[in-house]
Order: sequence, then C-alpha cells, then structure tokens
Amino acid sequence: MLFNSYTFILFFLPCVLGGFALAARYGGRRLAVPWLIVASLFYYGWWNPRFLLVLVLSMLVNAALGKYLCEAHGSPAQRRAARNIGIAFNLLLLGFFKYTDFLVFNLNSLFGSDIKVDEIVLPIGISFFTFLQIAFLVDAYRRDVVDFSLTNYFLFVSFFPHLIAGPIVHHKEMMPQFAGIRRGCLDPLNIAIGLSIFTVGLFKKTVIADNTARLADPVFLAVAAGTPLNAATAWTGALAYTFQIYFDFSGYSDMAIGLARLFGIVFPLNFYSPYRAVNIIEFWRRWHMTLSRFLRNYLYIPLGGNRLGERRRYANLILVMLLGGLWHGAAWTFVLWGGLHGLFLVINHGWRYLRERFAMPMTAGAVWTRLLALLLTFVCVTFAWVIFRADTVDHALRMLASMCLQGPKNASNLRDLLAPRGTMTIGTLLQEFGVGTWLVGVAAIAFLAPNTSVLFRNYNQALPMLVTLSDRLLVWRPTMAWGVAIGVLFVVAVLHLTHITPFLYFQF
Amino acid sequence: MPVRYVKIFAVTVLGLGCLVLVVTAVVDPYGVSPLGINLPRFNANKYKRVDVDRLIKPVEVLQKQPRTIFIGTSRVHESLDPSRFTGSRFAPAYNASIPNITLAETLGYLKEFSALDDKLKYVFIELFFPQFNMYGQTVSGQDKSPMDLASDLTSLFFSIDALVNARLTVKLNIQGKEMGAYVNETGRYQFPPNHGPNPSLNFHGFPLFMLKAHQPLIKSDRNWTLDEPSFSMLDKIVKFGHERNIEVVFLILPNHPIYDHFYLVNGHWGLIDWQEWKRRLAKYPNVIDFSPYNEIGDEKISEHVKYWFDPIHPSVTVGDMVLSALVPGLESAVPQNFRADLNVDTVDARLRETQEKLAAWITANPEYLTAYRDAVVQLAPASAADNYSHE
Repeated sequence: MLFNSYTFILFFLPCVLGGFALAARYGGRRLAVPWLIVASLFYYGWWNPRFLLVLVLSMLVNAALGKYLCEAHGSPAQRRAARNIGIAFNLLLLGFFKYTDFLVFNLNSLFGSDIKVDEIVLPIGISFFTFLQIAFLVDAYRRDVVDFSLTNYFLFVSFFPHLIAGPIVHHKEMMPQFAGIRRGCLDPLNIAIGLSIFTVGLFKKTVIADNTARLADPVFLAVAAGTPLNAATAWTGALAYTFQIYFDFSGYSDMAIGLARLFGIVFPLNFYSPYRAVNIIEFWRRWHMTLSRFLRNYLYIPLGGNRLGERRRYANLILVMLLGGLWHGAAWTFVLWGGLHGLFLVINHGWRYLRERFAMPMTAGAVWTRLLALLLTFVCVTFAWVIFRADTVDHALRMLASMCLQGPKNASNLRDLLAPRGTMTIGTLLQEFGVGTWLVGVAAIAFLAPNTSVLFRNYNQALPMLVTLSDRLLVWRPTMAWGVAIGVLFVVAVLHLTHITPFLYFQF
Repeated sequence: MPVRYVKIFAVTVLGLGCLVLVVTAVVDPYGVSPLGINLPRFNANKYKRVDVDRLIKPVEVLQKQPRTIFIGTSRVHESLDPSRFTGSRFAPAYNASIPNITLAETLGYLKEFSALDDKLKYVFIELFFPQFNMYGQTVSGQDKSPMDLASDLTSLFFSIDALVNARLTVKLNIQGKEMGAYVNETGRYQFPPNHGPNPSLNFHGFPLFMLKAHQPLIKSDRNWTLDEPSFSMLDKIVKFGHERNIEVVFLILPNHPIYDHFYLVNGHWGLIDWQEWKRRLAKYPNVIDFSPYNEIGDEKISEHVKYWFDPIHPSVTVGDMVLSALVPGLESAVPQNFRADLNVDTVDARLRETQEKLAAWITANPEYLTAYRDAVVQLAPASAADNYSHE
C-alpha cells in the first residue's frame, strides 16, 4: 500500500486516523499507542504478510536486547557483548536478505564457481528499520536512551509514516513524543499542517516526479538496450532523473512528515533544497539528512572522524560513503556512486584544508562565484546520479560518454525514444507543456521555490539558509486562501494517481 | 482557524472533484460516458478515443453485452470488423483487441469479460508467433479483480489525462479538425477514410524499423526459444472456456512474406522454432490457420495495396475474408487455400508449403533483399556481415 494510492488515501488513512481519535479519546495513550502499532503492522503486512514475521522478529530481538542494555546491571563486558550480538543480528538479517544474491554472484564471477541460491525477496523497508534499531542499541549501550517502554519501542520502529522509506528517525526524538500522547490529542492545527504538508509531498511525487520520470526512463532504457544516444538526449535523461529522484524522495519524506503530524508527531527534516548547495559537503547536509546523520554518528565518528589527522579523515570519508552507497542497493553501481561522492567530499575537504593552510578567506564569495560553485556541485551530483540510476556500470559509462559528446554519429534523439511509432506517449501533461518547458519549470521549483520546511516555517522546523524571493513571500498559514490552494494541489495530485508508481527509495 | 481551514480544504477538494467528474462525463473524450452526449462542434468527434483500449474495452463489454468477442493484438484490432457478423448467430459482436497483448493478459481479459458479460458465448482469440517467443512475455495480467474495472473507470473519468483530453476534444471539435485514426464503436481501430499504405514507410522502410525495434535481441546471444508459460496460458484459456461454456476459437492471421523473411534471415526464428510452434498449436482444439501463402502475400507492393496496412497488419479486406471464412453465408471471395484447420493431420503439409513458398518469394523479390541489406548496413555497418550468415 503506497502513500500515493487510493487505498491508502481513501481507506487506510481515514480509518487509522479515526480509530486513533477514538482510542485517544476513550483510552488515552494506553489504547492509542497499541492502535497505531496494529495499524502500522497491518500497513506493512498489506504488501506481503510473510515479511511481518521478519519485522516482528527483528523488533522483538532488539527490544529484548535494548531492555537489557537499558536496565541490566551486568558487567561492561556483558553489556558490550549484548550490544555486539544485537548489531551482528541486525547486520546478518539485512545481509541475508539484501546482499546474499550479490555476494554469490560475485563469488561465482571471481572463482568461476556455480553456487546457486534461490532468489531472495527483499522485505520492504528492511534497510531503514535495521539502521534505526542499530542506532537504538548503540545508544542503549551508552545509557543514552530515555523513556524506554516496550510499546513505545514497537511504535518507534513500526510507525507506518517512516517504516518503509524513512526518515531514519531517532529514538530520542520519538520516544518522548509517544510518551506524550494524551487523551483527545487530535489537534485541529496538527491536522491542518499535516494535511497540507502531505498534500505538498503528494503533488511533488505524483505530478512532478512521475511526469519527469517519463523523460528519464526511456533514455535509461535505451542505454540498457544498447541504443546509442546523442549528447542532448543523454543530458535530458540525466537531468530528468536528477530532478525525478529529488522530487520523488523529498515528496515521500514530506508525505511521511505530514502523516506523522496528523497524529501530533513531529519528524526530523530529511531534505532542504539540496540542489541549492554550493559544495558537496553542503549537499550532504541537505540531502537525505537523517541518513547523513546516522552515517556520521554511528559510522564516521566511531571510525575516528577527523580526529586522527587529515589522511585518516579522507579514508574514513571514502569508507563511509562506499558503505552508504552499498546500503542503497546490492550492486556495483551503488558502490561506485558512493565512492564517487566520497571522492567529491575528499576533494571538497582538501580544498578547504588548503585554503585554511594558505590563509585564503573562507567567506561567501561574490554572487557569480556562488553560482559557479552551485553549478559545479549540481553537475557533479548529476554525473553521480547517472551511475546510481544505470543498471550496470557499463551502461552508466556509455551514458556518461554520450553526455561528454562521445556518442556515435547515428545516435538516437529524444523524439525517437519517446514516441517510437506512436506506441509510447510521454503523457498528456508533458505533451501540453513540452519537454523543454517542463524541465525548466521543474528546475525552477528545485532551485528557486521554497522547500516544505521554509513554506511551513511558522509551524515546522526550518534551517537558516540562502533565501530566495519566493522564500520570503510564501509562508503557509491556516487561512482560507491557503485552504483553497492546498485543496487544488490535492485534487491535481489525486488526478495523477491513475499512474501509480512506487517510490524510488522503496527498493533500498 | 485551523478547523475552518480543514473545512475549506475539504469543500475545495469535493467541489473540484465533482467538477472534474461532470466535465469528463459531459465531454466524454473516450466515448464511454453513460450520459451519451454527442453534440456537433462540441464533442461529437472522439479524437482521443485511441490508445486507451486497456481502459475502454472492459467498460464497453459491460455496456454492450456482446455475444461474441474478438481478443487479439493490433492485427485483429485493425482488421476484424464485428459488424460483419450482423444477422449471424455470432451477433452482436465486439472487437475487444488490445495492441501488444500477451497471452497472460488475454487470459486475464477473457476472465474479466466473462464476469462482465452474461451473454458471452463465443470468443475468437488471435495467436501470434511473437506472443510465444518475444521478449516481454510474462505471466502477469492473468488475474483481474473488480478493482481493475474501478481503476479503469477512474482513469476514464477522474484523471489528469481525462481532463486534458476533454479540453482537447472540445478544442478540436470547435476547430473542426479532421478525424485521425480512432477506435470506433465496434472496438475496431479505424483509419481515416483516405488512409492508404505508404510503401516507402510501411514496406520499404520496414526492414530498418524491424531491425531497430529488435536491436537488443539481435545483438544478444539469446535464442528466441518458445516460451513455455505462454503455452500454459493457452491451456488455461482452453480450460476456462470449457468451464464457462464459452466456445473459444483460435485464429492465426496471415503474415506478409516480408515479416516472415525478417525472422528467417536473423536466424532467431529459424524455421525449426516456427515449425515447433505450429506443431504444438496443432494439438489444441479449434485452431484455424489463415497464414498459408497465396495471392494475399504475393500482392505487389504499391500505394494501392489492398490486403495490407503494413507487413504486420492485414487490412480490413483480409479481415472480412477471415470472418466470411468463419461464417458460411457471408459474402467475400477468398483464395482457395485461405483457411486451414490446424491439426496434427494437416500441420506437416502446411509447414512444407509455407517453407517452400517463402523461399520462392525471396527468390522472386531480389529488390527487397537489397533494401534489407541496406537497412542492416545503415544500422550497424560493422556487424552487417554477421547478420547475413543465416541468409
């Protein structure tokens, strides 16, 4: 059941919200929390009931170990063993489902062996709930967990708005909120904010991302099929995917944030206009922020971070990004993508180091230098997305070669790919606007329009950032005009639900 | 304030939603609205009733309750006119074909149509060689639920496509634009009245089109072996028809020699696979083969080709011949060897005849071979020689 489906919007959400209101009214937290747990498990089981066992087993083992770590009076060695067992259990579970096929394939390729395993279906969201629970165990070991209770823990892991594709929430920001669920806690203001943020996310996903995918998909399919592309076509595909993945994933995150807010729960930010970043370090502070936070706190810093010298810092960065890439999927393209971003980060940090060493000022430059930096960052990110999206490294290299004007002379153009003999159309909306106008419009939204956090800054979190004119002008308030505007956005988004496509991050 | 906001949001959503429904139902861009409003210079011409077969066919089967249904690919879609059955025991008939349909989808739609149409008695199903060995064959689509019809109706009346197409329908009607190809009320794909085959595009340009379309497959080492799940779908279709007391007849429509030649020279068809296909089909009941070579395939390519829209798609003239060969009494002159009931007794003779006649056609049409060679060279000069190793 996807957030962008009639089943979810018309049936599941109203039922869960109504049930929550009744449970909170007549039973307070005692009924409301179990109701949300049951609803979340139902939501997860809708996709494949068998994998409920995986989720429940994972939650039970981690809860038991977490309870021991929070309460036990064991020796440090015993506590360390409990933590390590928990981490190993989580990694083994993730490794079995996500990386067995990849491992076997590579072993067979490397040694010419013929090991066969049945295809293993990846339980949806396993990468997310595994990371969430590892962070919990590590903090429980550090005696850094507050408000632990079994029901709160189960809800923390299974709460349906973040269960499938994040944000990767932290127990410290969730548990106190669950503990704060009280009688009659369905607040009209939270409903108004949640509904509005959800609508913005739905619009980003169904209208912007899915229509932009109609430009990206044929290009990448053509590359996979061995069709040579000219540079303009390859760039169109790469840019389309760059915007598609942003609007898809940030749209999903907005929907998750909005849904949680309906229940009075505030989720952390996950995106903050990443394509406005003027360097890669800043990009990673704006893109999938909760993953960056996890990798920094639970991998980069334990590895030594920047405390062991510059060289070690660079090695740590590369390693963290390689693992971050592998977390996205069991394929060399993801590893390469992560490694490339690691390299970008090393170059960025190295540049900063040199500027500090030679006493060059680190202040923000003139507008044109900032624009140049923004463009350079964006191009680097776009090149990396090509590797991320391609089916194989070979396909990625061919696409990149076409983008660098290395395509053959008889290369196909975009028109050939989008409508081969009229059998495949790009959709009425794209036809109405035209490909160029569409891409320019989408880029303008990504670069110039206020992000959701800024739009809802009076009622939600927002970070200080480079502000545009539209950022200053557009501020959401629960007024009549905004009610109509958000209502229109909702209807337009729902009119696109007939082309339901899964969120890109579901596969990770 | 927030309560009022939520109320305004709800009213906007409901109001706008109803407005969309009213617009699409009145303008009816796909010709399926129960209101049935058709006003000249407003919405009489359904310009957008095209490429939406997967959505409109189940809805129209429900509305029309036909006794006979045709299910097939674009070949049946373009050539078989159900109105030819008027007055026969098969009437009323409806062409429920869907371009690029797989056999799994055929089974799925058969189940759906049977559930929607109480009067359904006869189903003519096309069997097309690529359905048994082309890439893209899957087993998905064999099951349909009532939710599928609900989803189709939503797409037809409450979607951005429906809304945009409603606007375009009114705009084009006001402009009085000439109708292009569309799906007519019998479910058949209707070309505009002056439509004729374009020899340079449809026939001489055919090798390049086919080579481009099949490029990945030709490059790969994969053999186009027969697809077992497709036969399993065929078994299920036969079983389903039997269980529901629906008479299922399988049709193999004519192929143009140009089309057969493509598979032959690429070595992927190899007559071995093709022969195997026919032999296995011969074991099924009610398989009627219209593909033997005769004057239809031998027709000279020109701007006035009578029997073909292009080398894949036979014309309505051929479609009429097929239907008249199915119903005694329908007038249409057909070649002597036009229809053959495929069974284990006749299959070998038919195969031999086809093979010989294809070879004769290739010998008699050297200019076509030159065009084919040119296409190969134009597409991939380096591998041109490889492609001829099978010739």
